[in-house]
Amino acid sequence: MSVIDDLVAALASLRDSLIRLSNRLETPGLATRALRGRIRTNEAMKKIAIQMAAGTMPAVQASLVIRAFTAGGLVSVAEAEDSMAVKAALAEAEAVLDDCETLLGG
Amino acid sequence: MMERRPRTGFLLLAALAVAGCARDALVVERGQSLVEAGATVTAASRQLLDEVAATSREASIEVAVADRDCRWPDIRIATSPEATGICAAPDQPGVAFAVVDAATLRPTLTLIDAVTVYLASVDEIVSGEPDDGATALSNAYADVQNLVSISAGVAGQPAPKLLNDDQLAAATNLAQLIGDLRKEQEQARRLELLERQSRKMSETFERLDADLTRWTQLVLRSDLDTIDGVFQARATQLRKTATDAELRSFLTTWADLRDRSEAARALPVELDKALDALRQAHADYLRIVENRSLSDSDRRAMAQIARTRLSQALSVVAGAVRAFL
Repeated sequence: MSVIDDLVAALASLRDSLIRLSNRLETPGLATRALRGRIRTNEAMKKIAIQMAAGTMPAVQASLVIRAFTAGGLVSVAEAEDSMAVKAALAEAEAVLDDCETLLGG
Repeated sequence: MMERRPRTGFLLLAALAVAGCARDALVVERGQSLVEAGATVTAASRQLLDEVAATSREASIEVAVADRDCRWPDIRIATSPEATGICAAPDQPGVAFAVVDAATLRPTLTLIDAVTVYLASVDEIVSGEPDDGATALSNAYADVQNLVSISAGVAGQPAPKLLNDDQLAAATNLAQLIGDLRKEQEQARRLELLERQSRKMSETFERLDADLTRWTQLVLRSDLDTIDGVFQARATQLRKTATDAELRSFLTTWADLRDRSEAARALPVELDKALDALRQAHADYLRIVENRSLSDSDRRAMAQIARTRLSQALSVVAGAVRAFL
């Protein structure tokens, strides 16, 4: 498995966690924020495919992969009723997605 | 003894000629199997890419329907934690929503074209109908040569990024093969040229496999998931405001989407089976054209196994593609 494959696996895991969380969230604002995270994760994966097809995929740092897996873990353990934990987990996911977008092009 | 020598020589030549004919017949048969397996793969691959492009556009539209502040077609997903909707206002930070269109898919389409042209060359040569194939080969040669020329660029000027390096290598090899085939009229020599290129075509199958897997796993599934996500958000609104008929219509559309997502999850496995069948048929073809010492019973056994395997794999693939579309 290459680092790029690892990043794809980490993003897929983050997306699954966001899907499960957004299914449980009752607060509309947080649900929309989780949905944005889910769409941005999907977009990051699409952009990896596009960059790879064009032969322009930049190098990926292993630290980004680890952070993406960690963010997925935080989102998956956040209790939907605990808005502070949800916000912290989403903030972590958003920070990782910001870095992915910088790497892959916005 | 002097009389027996020519006779022995004649019998030996006759035996070799019969063995040669048997081999040629098998090459033709295996070449036809290869063409059949390849046609299924290239058709399914093109359908898949059409679906990837259509779903990508559909996803962008559904996002715009879910949030009326989105400015389709230039959709930007809001990245600020404080944003209230899905899309970013013009003065807010956001990330562009990527729509995968035909231009983006062009490198993969080129690989499919390469496989198609290669299979057409096999077909032309094994069927012994050079007249029918000559025009197709000339057209294919012009197309591939044009693509290689553009992708390679002009000295001192940057080349447009149509193909990545692997794909450019595959297209260059293909242009070489087609160019040689066009010049060569003699059947045995054409078969020889095809044999020489066949190993390189095995690499092209691998590249096509990798490309299709990426488009399916990373793009098609992602866009389907985005549609699922925005449907979920819309369902929350519609439950409060829509009439029964409107809600029923919406839920029916959503159920169809769920079916497509299930099929998309299964598609890479089925495509893999199709490509495996193609790889196997190609490997069989290579073994036959390269092996001069197979017995007749070996050939019969191999032909039977290959036919059974191909027909099983192809029926699975045909079913999967039909279920998806």
